[in-house]
Amino acid sequence: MSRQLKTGHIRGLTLLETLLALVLLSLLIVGLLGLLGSLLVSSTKSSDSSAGVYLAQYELEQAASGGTPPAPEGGLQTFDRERFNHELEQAVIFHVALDWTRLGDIPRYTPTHAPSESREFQFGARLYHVKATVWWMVENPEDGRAEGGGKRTVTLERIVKVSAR
Amino acid sequence: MTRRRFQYGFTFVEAMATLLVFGFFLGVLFLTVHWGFRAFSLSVARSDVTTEARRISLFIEQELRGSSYFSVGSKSRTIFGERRDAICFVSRNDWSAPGSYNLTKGSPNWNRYFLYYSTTDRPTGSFVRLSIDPAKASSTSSFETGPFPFSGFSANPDAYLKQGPPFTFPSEVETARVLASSIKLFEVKKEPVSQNVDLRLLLRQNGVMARRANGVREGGTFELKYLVHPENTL
Repeated sequence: MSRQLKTGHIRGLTLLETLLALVLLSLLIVGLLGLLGSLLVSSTKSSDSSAGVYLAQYELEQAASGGTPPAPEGGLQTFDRERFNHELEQAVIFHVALDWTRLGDIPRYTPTHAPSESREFQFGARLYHVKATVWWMVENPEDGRAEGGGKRTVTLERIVKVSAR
Repeated sequence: MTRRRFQYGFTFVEAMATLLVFGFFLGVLFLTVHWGFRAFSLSVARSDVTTEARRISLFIEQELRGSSYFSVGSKSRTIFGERRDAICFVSRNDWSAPGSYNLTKGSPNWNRYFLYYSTTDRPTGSFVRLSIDPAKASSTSSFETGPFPFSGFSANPDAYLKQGPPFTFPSEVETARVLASSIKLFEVKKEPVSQNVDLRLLLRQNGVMARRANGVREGGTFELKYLVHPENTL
């Protein structure tokens, strides 16, 4: 952009003006591209959350098919699992806690429509409420500066029948 | 009297300072743009594999859960140390139809087999779902649908496990659908004691512009493990 001076000469931009324009342009571009960094963090968190949900489902399915509580009255089981959901050579470590709570020992019950009868409880005597909690640490894939990083948790629950052994 | 016209340009120092500043600006811009494209490429790759994993789980988990354990047939294949298995099981094409359940037998009226397999392409294969209608081949052979492994697949699995596209399947294959294209590993394990089927999938997609300083390609990876108990195991 040039300006007409009173003397008729055309004056160009000074070095200071050029520098200021470049700095402003740089800030704009850096700001816009910073959004792509947020996109990477979001996709990483989304991928981790999906993996966490699938893992919790898997552990609940394991508990429902042949799993055993740590004690007859229930209790807490903790262990770690690895899943490859970032890069092939580095697994993400997910921490798992299975919280077993016995719902009650009710081998027989009396139906309300037949108060004189005593029937066998169809789900068996050993019915447990199992809460699967999966948590992991979100780290920035670049340098640990991720916003929203730290501990992330997924919790799923279901009723599980444990066969007597 | 003549008018002298002065032409004023940059001095050497000014020109050097401008070039230095402009060079620095270009360097910062290049690094930022490169990092931005790399982040975008990684995000797209991660998002893609997660979406593909969700699509696969939507189909295979639901359909296998409605099946019978005794109908599950599998074929183990290893390509360069990576498992690319196949699994086939009985099901129905429409569970909401009024005659979907046989009250006398106490089991569903099976009318389809579903076959899932991964092609053996390198570095990643496609995940294919086939819907097989044995009735379509009943005039030429004696296929029956039941809670037992599909005899056509058990006898000649390679007739169904085609690389593609284009796919050329036997006539009883009703539909073929590619659910994913980033399959690095597909492993099927049957557990006879618990009558569960253990599935493991590893999806991988390299980022377009994502490469580390040591040359290793970055991208999206997603590992999916499933434990499914076919509920109509009678």
